[in-house]
Amino acid sequence: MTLFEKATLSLAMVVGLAIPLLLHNEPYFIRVAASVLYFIILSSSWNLLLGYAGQLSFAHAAFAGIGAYTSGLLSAGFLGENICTGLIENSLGLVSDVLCGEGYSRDFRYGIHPLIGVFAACLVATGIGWCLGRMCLRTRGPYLALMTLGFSETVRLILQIEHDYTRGSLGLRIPYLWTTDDGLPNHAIGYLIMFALTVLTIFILYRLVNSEKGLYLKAIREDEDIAAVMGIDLVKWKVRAFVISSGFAGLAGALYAHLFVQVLAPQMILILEMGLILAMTIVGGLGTLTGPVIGAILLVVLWEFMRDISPYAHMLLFATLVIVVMKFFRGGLFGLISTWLKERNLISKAPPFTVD
Amino acid sequence: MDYYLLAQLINGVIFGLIYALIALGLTIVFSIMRIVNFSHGEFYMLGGYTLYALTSGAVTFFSIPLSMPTIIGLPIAMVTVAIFAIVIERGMLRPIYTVRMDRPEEYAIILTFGLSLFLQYGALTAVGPYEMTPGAFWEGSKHILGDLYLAGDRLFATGVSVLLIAITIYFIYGTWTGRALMATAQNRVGSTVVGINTVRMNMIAMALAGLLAGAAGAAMAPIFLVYPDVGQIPVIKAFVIIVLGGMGSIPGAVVAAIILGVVESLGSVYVSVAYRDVFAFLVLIGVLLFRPHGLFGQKERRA
Repeated sequence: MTLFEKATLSLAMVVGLAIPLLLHNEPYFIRVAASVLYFIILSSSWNLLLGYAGQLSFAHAAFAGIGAYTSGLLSAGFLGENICTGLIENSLGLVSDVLCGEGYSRDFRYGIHPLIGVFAACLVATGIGWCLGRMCLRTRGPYLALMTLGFSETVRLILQIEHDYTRGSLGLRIPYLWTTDDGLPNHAIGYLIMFALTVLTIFILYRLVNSEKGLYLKAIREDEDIAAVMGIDLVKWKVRAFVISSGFAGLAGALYAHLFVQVLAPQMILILEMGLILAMTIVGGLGTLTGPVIGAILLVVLWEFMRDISPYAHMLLFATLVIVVMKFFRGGLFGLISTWLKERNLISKAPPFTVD
Repeated sequence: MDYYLLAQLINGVIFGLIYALIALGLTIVFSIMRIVNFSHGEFYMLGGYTLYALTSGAVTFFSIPLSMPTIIGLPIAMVTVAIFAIVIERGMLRPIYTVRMDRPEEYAIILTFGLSLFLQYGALTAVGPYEMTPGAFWEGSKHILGDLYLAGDRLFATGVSVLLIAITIYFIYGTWTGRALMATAQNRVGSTVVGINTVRMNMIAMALAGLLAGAAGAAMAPIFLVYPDVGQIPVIKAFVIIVLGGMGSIPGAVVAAIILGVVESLGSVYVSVAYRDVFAFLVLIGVLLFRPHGLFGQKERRA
């Protein structure tokens, strides 16, 4: 690590930690910052799969959704009973029955603690990831991309169809993990938890990518035949990368749901969400750890600025950016910056990701 | 056999033939270019929108409202989508074969996925999320036999599918261009050596995919209406079909499409209607577990 890298990293940490202190009276900005963190976790872990192992999955948003719903259903009293007898004040004392539909309330006392739910979410996402990975990473070719796209739509459909349990498109209300005394979410604490998870994710990915195992994954990405000849168990390592990445997605989805999203809806698994994760990773820079972070920050900020124009204008812009980046500079933004920085010896000279 | 089961079987076959039209273009592009076109569903959507623009009278051309008969709108929609597909092939996908690049598969999938999002949200921004109804091709419901009635539009769509599938199969197996396509699919280097312009074959494959998807989109438009993400579910079914039939196999795609149509139709009667779109995924799991190379596909050869 060069001095410049250390300085940038420290600055990022300080800025990241200072946000709740500076903005504790501005819930809007903290929420935006938290959604940046959520997307950083998702796109970084997706990047492990595509950028390092070369496997393209469209189910990342679905895993985040699975995580959120697992934890949500467990902690919202999925095992208890649905109480449909008018306006009942629940254990947290929240008055949001209007939001949940008339005369409907779930008694959170029957649910487990959200924190246990979050761990269960991570386990479930990992387990499903393992099954899916075992199934379609045995064969080569674009099977993973096709299968995961189908999987993602199927999960969304099932969540919509089984509305007796998930409340379908009406939205499932789930308890907050951390509330202030008046029962409202504590945004500053929530942000800090998300920040901790983000730092943890990037640290784990950093250790993984720079270890021998990271080398296996890169070898698989570059040439599967040669990797197999070198004695790398292709299926094993591809499945491992897939499992790790879906575990992070499940964890991030569940935590973010409990900290900032009060009402879960199947719309969080739309292909649109996957498009956002993909756009952030590609625009930021595929196959680098910094790229997805830059991409997530930039695109979420752009998105917030574009809310006034049209509800879908941001997606139009992001799709254009993906096409332009893929076509003209596949290294993404970080690829552009890093060549400039490398010439000045500011960052360490790792071999370039893409050779055109 | 009671009429109820018969009706469901016929319904399944009809849906299968319609799916086949969508899947055929996808499998042809895969066999020639070795890429999966993730924007195929949006070609389908464009077909529907073109038909709507040409026939509904809602769009004006030099202050004359366009309201031509739907039967004339269909071929125009097909050609429009085919031209669009050629433009996409030239502008985006050609570098895969003309320029040396890293991981072309990844490039193609991400590019076509980006294009798919662009077209979907472009349509959403341009015309809004409203469902639009182009005029019918064949109004009313038609008596088949016994108690069996079918909507005229569905029969028309089936007829279009059968006709176009037959023409495509004749084109691939019966003409010199089709043979050149097959040769390209089998061995790219070999076909270049014998004088086939493989880059032109890419273009023909994409144009064919555009024609078929455009026809499917336009023929389906009066039944399923037109809206920005209309292509989402059909294209996922088409993915299932090409995996089930064997990636790149043309007869495989037709057979698999009919199988999927019948499975869905019987499943929605005997299991649950709501789960209709989920059966495709179950079929996909079954294929990947027991026969990953599909019904008609060749086992991959290890280099």
